[in-house]
Amino acid sequence: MKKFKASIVKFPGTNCENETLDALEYIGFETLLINHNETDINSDLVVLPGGFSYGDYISCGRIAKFSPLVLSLKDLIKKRKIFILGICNGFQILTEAGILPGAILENIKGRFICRDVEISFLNKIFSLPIAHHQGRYYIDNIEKLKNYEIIKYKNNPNGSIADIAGLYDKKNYIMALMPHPERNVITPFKSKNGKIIFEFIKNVIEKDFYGIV
Amino acid sequence: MELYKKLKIEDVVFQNILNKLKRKPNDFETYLFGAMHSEHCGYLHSKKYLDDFYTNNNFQNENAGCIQIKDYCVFFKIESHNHPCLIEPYQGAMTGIGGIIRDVLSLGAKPVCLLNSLKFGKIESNKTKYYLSEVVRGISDYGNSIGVPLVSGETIFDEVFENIPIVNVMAVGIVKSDKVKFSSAKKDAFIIILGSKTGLDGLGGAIFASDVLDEKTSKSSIQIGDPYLKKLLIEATLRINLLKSTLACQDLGASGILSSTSELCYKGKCGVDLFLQNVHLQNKNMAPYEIMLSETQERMAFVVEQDGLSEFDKIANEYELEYSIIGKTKKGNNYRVFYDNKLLADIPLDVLCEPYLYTLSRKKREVQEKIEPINLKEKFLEIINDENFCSKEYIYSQFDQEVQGNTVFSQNNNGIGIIYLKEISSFVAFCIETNFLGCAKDALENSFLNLYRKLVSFGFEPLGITNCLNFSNPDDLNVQSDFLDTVDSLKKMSKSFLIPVVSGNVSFYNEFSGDKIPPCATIAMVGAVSCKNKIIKSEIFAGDKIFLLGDYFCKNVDVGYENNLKNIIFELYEKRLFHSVKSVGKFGVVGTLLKNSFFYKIGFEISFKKELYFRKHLPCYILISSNDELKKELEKNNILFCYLGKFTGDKIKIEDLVFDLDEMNQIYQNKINFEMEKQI
Repeated sequence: MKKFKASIVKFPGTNCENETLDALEYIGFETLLINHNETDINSDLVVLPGGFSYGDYISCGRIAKFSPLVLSLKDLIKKRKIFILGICNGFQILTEAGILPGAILENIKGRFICRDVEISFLNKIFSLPIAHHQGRYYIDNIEKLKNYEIIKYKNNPNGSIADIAGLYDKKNYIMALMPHPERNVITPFKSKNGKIIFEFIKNVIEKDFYGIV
Repeated sequence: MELYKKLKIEDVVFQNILNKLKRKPNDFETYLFGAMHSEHCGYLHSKKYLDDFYTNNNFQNENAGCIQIKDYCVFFKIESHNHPCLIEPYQGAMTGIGGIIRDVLSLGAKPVCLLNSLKFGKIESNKTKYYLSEVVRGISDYGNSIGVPLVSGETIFDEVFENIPIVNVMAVGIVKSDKVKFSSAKKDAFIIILGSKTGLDGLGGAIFASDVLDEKTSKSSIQIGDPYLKKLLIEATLRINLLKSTLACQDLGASGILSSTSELCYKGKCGVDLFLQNVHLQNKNMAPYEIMLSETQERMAFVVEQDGLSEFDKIANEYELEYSIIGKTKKGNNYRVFYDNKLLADIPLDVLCEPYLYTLSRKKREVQEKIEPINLKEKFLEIINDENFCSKEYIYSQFDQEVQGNTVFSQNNNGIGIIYLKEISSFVAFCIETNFLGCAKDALENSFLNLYRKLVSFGFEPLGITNCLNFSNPDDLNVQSDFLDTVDSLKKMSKSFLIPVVSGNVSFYNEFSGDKIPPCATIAMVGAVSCKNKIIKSEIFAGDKIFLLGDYFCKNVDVGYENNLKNIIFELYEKRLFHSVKSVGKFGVVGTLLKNSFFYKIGFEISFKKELYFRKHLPCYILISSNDELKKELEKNNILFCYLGKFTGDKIKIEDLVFDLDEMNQIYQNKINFEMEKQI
């Protein structure tokens, strides 16, 4: 079976890169940890993992969006088929960079929240852990999301508009979510729900990028 | 007033310096002694009593102690950060985490998890709300950013802590046994400081933490944390410590450059020359003594050989970290400090590092046990409404418990944190507890047994202990007696159970404007298991019977009996003869059953001797099972047990009292949230 390539990006302050790498390996990706200075990307999937890039200085993702890698992603999307996944801080970076619409604000109660939440994605309802202080998605006009698949919270934990936990831009293959699927893939005694997200991505790459049915 | 008095060096301590030094130290040297011979750095009141613990390995006198699992060392230690938290709780809590992380990091160990033990006043008090929200925010902001999960902890509310919050934090790190980096220097190498620019923050922190605080205490002694810089420092340090030419590593904590460099050289039996003009500074106008005593956070000290300097430079640059080569080790025993070629200090290291030690004494005290008649209903409602019993979700949901992806079980209602370490394919469990009611000996024995049984109830073999002993003014004879009783009991328990005390911390002077804390010995226990099937995964089903296991009337600790119970429980689980085993915690049988009722959403009905429902001392186990074989097995093994009742329905029935499960659960879940949000 063909092994697809996944690059996991490390910014200074990123802290979920190792478990993301382990989870993707388990799903069957060939993984590579790359630096934020990298611009020469030849993988099928690029993951911006969770953490506190540049210490969340100014605001989450505000500095990371100027990194050579994030700047080059914008061109890359136009040039060839590539899947981009942003998890937590990755979601924040993607909205800051304008690669996804909207913005991510501080949780409505102003506190960090770490717990399992139920989400719905493609007619499936399952739980995944969240861990963020700034996860309240906001957009001025919800109509702007009409071409996006929306990942929704069942019980909104952070005040996010329209219960949005994540977005999937089907046309450009860009997905971002606040929950951490990488934490529920290989950890013993934990659910394996994270596989739903990663296997979905793998199937899309398989079908749309390589025409494997 | 003479300088040494201003620096709060006691006469007897100063006289000891004069005798050993055979001259009067100059002013600069007096500053150094003021810090090194403070209670905080020198353990003046406690050191004499901390040397003959039962231990297991050669990693003594290091920044943290360890247990060995396969070819890895699991290092752990608890540290107090009470004084800074009292004055500035947010920064105090941040730097508490920062400091304890550096302790395991300096050994070359990768930080894998954190625990905490927090004590505040009653939840209704505004002061408590302030301290609680700021301390939790500090731990959250720092721990979450550096990517180390906080897997377990305890929060205690009692009016005795109203003005004196107690903040103890624990860090755990792992490193391959042959890669442990010791904190002893060798001669002819360079001393390098990596990380933050040294500044005026936290100046004199050690001296401040060795005294009784009052309203006049200034905030300038408080250190400021920077988790982002720490994250980079952690990654760089782990790589630097793997280099062959890195001979030793030490963190910069209390008394900064002074204590780290002097300890490195004293342990390594070599002398050192420091050149302070080389130190990278925040403020160019700092006086030499300020450079020595600054407690600026996010700095590490390394002893590196000449041929490792270029590799060191490469790693530091990769992480955009500043560093300065501030000294050179050499033959001899002298600690010399220069500034622009001017010799400021020349002190034999043993004089600098070995302060005067006090002898403590015991006061005879009568201990009275109070037996109060129990009103079942009142007592029950008291527990349900006690914030100590209530869900701490408000607190723990603010900590990232799962970053790194290894957390198997975390805080929630279990009081235990379990992580899976793939490096050793083992599960490691941690729990932490403080008892402060009753006499010091009983309190310690209770904590010890609670932790031991907690680990057993999850299938873990207890392997090691660490502790943090929080006391008030050690000049008080009662405090001395409590301290000695605590240390003796800890030694006795550890030795009889053959569970080593691998590390520890003592914090005296926990007083504020006349208030003082009771003796608070916080202990943490670590256990491990390599096989997934051995972890006891508890479940409860409607109809399950409840048995109380062990001698509930026993008043003494019996090691053989405890061991036997442990083995039987493991054996019964292997045969899957029960659904669940619970250690009875601080809230007795009823408290333990309630928490499980709430979690599994099943009520229970029990009837038993009523004075024992809420008993706090020498607890034991509850077994929950539907299997009739269980009774036979227990009888066969001569285990004392009794039938209490069963899990069923949606009501809680104790004798003739009936409560609604859902209603009780609402109070349990929402009490702390409700109180904390009332403030806004």
